[in-house]
Amino acid sequence: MSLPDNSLWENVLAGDERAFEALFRQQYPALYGYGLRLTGDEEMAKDGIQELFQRLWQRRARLGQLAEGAVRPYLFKALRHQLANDARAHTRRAGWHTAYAAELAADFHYSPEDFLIAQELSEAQRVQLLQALAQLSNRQREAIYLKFFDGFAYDRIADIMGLNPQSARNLIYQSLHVLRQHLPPAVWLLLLSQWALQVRLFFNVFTNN
Amino acid sequence: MELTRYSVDDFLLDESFQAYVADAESAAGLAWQVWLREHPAKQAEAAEAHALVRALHQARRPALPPRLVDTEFQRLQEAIRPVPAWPRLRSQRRVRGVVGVLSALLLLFLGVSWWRGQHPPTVRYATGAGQHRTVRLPDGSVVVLNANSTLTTAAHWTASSAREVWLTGEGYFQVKHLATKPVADIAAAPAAVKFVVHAADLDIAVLGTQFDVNSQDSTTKVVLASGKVAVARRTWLTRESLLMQPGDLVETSTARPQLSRRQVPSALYLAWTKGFFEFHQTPLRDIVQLLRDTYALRVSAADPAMLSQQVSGAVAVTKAELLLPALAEILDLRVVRTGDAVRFERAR
Repeated sequence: MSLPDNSLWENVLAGDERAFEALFRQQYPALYGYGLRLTGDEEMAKDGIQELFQRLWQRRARLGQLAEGAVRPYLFKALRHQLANDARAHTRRAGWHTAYAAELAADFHYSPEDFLIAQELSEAQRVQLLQALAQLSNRQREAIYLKFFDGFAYDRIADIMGLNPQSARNLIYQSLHVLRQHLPPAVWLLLLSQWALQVRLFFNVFTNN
Repeated sequence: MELTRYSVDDFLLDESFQAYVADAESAAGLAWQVWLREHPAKQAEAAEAHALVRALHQARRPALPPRLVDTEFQRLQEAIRPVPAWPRLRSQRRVRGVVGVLSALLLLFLGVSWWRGQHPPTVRYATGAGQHRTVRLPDGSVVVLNANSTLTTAAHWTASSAREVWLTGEGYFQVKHLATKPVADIAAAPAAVKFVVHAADLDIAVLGTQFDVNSQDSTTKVVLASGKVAVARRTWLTRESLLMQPGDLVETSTARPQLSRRQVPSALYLAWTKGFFEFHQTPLRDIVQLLRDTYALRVSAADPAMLSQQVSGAVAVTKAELLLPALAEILDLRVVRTGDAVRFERAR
């Protein structure tokens, strides 16, 4: 199971069912988390991942190799596309207003409550942080999430969200700026005190040597 | 850009700085620590950036519903490998069809008889809410079952049969040592010499020692008081194992299936069997961890300094509802409980 993701991918393309299962199990939690955030709906997230992997298996002969570390971003991008299509199809079936369908597909529901904040923050401080996150647009929240939670580099985020790398960077820049403006001083003080503690620990280690 | 001209935003956007926040011991982290020490003038801005990135890093994946990946993978398999439609029986094929059904029934019958031979009758011990139960096994080992737990074993044990039990819930095992000569590899020892507890995905093998196994809905934990325990996790494709040392807690969960190990004050984790906690200058930090591990409570403290306060003495309860007020009184703190969330605050 310690195979790099791209050799697993290569084996899947070659038709290895065990590799397919390993890939599914390896990527499922991250994809589920992302799908849930995009749709806010467990069934839609699960169905989207099902369709994604079904198509992946059916079309494996026509898919190309990926670089190491590129498998998850590829799957994220494909899931995003899949869920956008599903949302459009869903709205068509339900006969909703087309403008709303377009809005839903273009602008995913991205709930700030999904950010579970550190336990060391009090309930009030946690709420303040969530309120700051709520100031962001859906796209800004999605970018922040891909950056700081899934740990993707700017160019990967750009690829997943269909932006150019500079726009992805700008999106995150704006988001962080908004967050800084909306965080009340109390939260800052607490977060800063923890940083100070960490630095002090480091310096102690340093001077002991 | 020159690092010395970095603003808070520049620190925030720098991917190597983000890597430092994620892991201060990484290459990028160490480089930043050295750089910041040499540039005290930039520390304030870096601190602000660090704090925000750190807060954002706290975002966590939602817990996956138990067994979701398994059921979803099954669903996927069914979808990509559709069962071929049953061929319509033509008259000349009907006889073959009947023969086929009969042979299938015969095979099923043989299979069931074989399975019954392989799986002798079992006996099941269970506890309800608030109940404890002590079970003496035929080999002399003793198991204390906590509330809402079941233990299943073979009904008849012989000197050569495998010593193995199946557990759901929590049990404290005192296993009798039967090995006559030293055994190097516990997992490879003969089945009648080692003692194996099966709980969720785990096989917990010992020769003779005391340990606690707690297997709840999505998480299984093993705590070892003394001696050695070999823990193996087996799933369809993976198999990983490790050898526990005294004081170790090993954990697996559906969210993080890989075995993880940390040191805990093991006596606290076994206190439920005796009905009281004994604290010897135990820092609140350890007790908070215990509450998280064994009562699935989300515990926090208003002030990190509280976590270093020490508790000594015996508390004659093991229920969280009673332990929490007792701790509050000993430490002169206030405990606020809302559902599963517990918070220690300064008394007014």
